[in-house]
Amino acid sequence: MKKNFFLLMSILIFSLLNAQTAEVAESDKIIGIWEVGSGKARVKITKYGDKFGGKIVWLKEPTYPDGNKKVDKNNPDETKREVPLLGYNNLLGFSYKGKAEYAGGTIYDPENGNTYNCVIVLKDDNLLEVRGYIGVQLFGRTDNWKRVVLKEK
Amino acid sequence: MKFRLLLFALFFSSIGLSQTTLDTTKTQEEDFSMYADVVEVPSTNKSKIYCSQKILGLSPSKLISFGFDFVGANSIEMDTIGSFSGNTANIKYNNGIRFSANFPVVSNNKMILSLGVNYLDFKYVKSSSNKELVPLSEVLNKNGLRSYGINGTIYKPFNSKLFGILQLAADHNSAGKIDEFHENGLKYSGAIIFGCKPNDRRQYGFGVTQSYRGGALNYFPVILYNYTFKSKKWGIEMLLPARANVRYAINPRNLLFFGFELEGNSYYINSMVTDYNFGFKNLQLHRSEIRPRFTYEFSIYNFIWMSIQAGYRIGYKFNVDNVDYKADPVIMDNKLGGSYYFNISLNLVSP
Repeated sequence: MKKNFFLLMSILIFSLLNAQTAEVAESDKIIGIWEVGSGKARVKITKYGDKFGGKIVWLKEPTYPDGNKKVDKNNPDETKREVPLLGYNNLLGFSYKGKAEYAGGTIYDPENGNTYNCVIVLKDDNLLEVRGYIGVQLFGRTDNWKRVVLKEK
Repeated sequence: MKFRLLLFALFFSSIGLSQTTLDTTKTQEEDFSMYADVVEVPSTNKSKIYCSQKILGLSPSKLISFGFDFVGANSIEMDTIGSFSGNTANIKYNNGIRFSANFPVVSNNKMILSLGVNYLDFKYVKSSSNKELVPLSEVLNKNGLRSYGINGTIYKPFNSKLFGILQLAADHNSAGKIDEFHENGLKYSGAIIFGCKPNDRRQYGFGVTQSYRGGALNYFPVILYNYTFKSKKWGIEMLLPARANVRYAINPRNLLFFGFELEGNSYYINSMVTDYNFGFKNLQLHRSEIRPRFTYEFSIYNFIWMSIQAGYRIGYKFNVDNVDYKADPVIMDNKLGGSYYFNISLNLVSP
């Protein structure tokens, strides 16, 4: 009787832990390097704590015509206008909601200095649908990001 | 004993698996130059990639707009009608409010469907120097012109470059009070455009429109052209024949425009049918004007923008037509004089 109880418990614990692992693995599919729809930037999405976020790791045009590195010059906060765009955390605070959807975060658009609410859907392992919006999701626009991987040297 | 070993093995293997997964999330010190050399991983998703309607640097579209319009002193050379001889109506000023709201009801990367409402009124305050006036002056002074309606716009991308736009509108335009509805005041307009967005700084399209911008009902070819120069400081926003603007961006939240708008409509003049015995059943005022102007649009707070516009109004058409008699419909061939004008509006803009 006692042996059966321990067997049952062990199977239960094993199942729970593996289910959690599977969910972690599922949610982590978003992690990686993504190229935005215009092809002008690449964003690396990582996990910090139980949230997901991303930063700009590549720009097609990383400098201004005068050779200076691009900075966040359109930020409404004047103190941040000298922050380099390369390495800028433009995706913040996303939680995995199940069904390949990440929500609750924000996306920052350095082109105009606006921060939007954002929902991200992993259409498949290599395609993201990123929707920035204000208030409700209807007031927004969608961009498709493609997964890229580093070339093997 | 074997059983307990099994239990421990199961337990730690689970922890081991989850830790391996979590380990991949650790942020590492990065050399950004490494991200220049990448390869795309093909998507297995059958869904296509569609072009968005937005281009870089384009002024934000207005979801909700509430504005005030003012036109300075001007005159209208009124033609003879019936026993009323022609005269010049001196207008002290015109003013009115403009309200429009456009809400996307379907918005995804495959299609955007927006529905909207609009209201516009335009008052004619006559100058005290006027003496004998023709009926049209009295009607305008009493009621002004009023337009309200609904509209719908579909933006449909076909692939990553080609798109179509379909716009339909139904308005009620009259020189009567807001509760005076008449079927002769109903006007339907629309446009269809097929276009291409070769890159994120350029968008063009061609189509046809059924419109009252010229005063009477007309069919125009439409040219859409939006372009942002590489510097992102300058741009062109054009939807001919309705409007064209050259844009200068002080920064993305402060935009200057210089251009023009062709504005017009056809209004049912209720009072001239009911209060005067001219024998016409459907008299329409065909108003059309060209407005060259400067515009300054800027963000007050996040997505709340203000627009200040000043320019000159050139009268193009101000006829009264008996639309039941198509062979020679013009009853009054009036001439609308020019005047300076300004407009100020508060807007909630789209992302």
